Amino acid sequence: MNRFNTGHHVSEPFDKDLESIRQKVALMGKLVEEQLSLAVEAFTNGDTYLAEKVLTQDDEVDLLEASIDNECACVIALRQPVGHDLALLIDVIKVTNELENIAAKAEGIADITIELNKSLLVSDSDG
Amino acid sequence: MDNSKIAHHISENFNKELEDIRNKVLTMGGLVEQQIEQAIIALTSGDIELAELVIRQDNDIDEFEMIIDAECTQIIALRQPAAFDLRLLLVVLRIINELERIGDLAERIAKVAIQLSTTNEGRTDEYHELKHMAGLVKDMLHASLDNFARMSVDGITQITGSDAAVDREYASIIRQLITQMMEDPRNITRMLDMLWTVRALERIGDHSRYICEHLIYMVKGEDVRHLSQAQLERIMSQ
Repeated sequence: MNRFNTGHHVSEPFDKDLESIRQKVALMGKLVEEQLSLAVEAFTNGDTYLAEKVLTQDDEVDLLEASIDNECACVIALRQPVGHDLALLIDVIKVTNELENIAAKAEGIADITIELNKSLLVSDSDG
Repeated sequence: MDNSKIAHHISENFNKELEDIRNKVLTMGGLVEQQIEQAIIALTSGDIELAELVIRQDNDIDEFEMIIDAECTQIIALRQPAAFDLRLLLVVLRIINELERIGDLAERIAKVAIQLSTTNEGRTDEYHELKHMAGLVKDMLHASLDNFARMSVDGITQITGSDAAVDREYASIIRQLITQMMEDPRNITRMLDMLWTVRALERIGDHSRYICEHLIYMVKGEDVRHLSQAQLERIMSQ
């Protein structure tokens, strides 16, 4: 089932707005998933290079969040949706916030990986 | 209270609704501040009953979040606000989410307080710095809620700037905890509990900073999340 009810509204541009938001949320979700598994991989393998990659990619997630939130606010202001559509747009803002939090945790794991590799504790117990 | 930003609508009811929302957010914020305060007192004085009270009261905060959330959605649907009014309502949704998370962190500190009271044997010496750090984050939260009450962002970079001081305090306490763990491995369980607490306080500082960022969006319409303190100061001085 497509919650975004695409193709359902009298106003075609509104459908397009919702579809654009849907695609961005899906993309953001995929990115965050990838961030998390890369971060865990970097941690378990002690891979500093990979950890640094996670840190740089976090910017992309942040940008997406800002862009989705902005689009939602614009759609609410311009289309003045009610009922299901309004609830959906507000939920999207909440979902992007959760996704961003997960990405921040992935970033935290990457930070820890880099710190751990730097510290002597690792080289001591490695051998 | 300065009502110029929300009390200018032709519809008297709309004014009232916005004011009601603001008051509810402030009540919720006051409750959250009190939760932090009580959780820290419970921890430092080993007061299990107070800790249990904090844990119970977290339900009130959750309930506040749900009520305000529903009211905001309803106002957006019925009044179809734009510009500042819409940003205000969207920001309220975000602020109550931050407050709810801070509430959860206070609850976590209360749980640690119960845990620690069984192993602490009257030690209070290490609480001095913890109390200081708790004071810092409580001030940050209070100042950001104060700005929300006034719907203003004057001097807001000072609040976000103190997050750095909180982070320094955090790093310094962690170093001490690690030293104590190495000195005597029997300390480790207790020190880990302490670590959860300072971590929670550090997160409360972060959430207070986020509230400030939301306020900047509300007043200036600019999304300033994920910017460094220097970038933030540049934008605010424009």
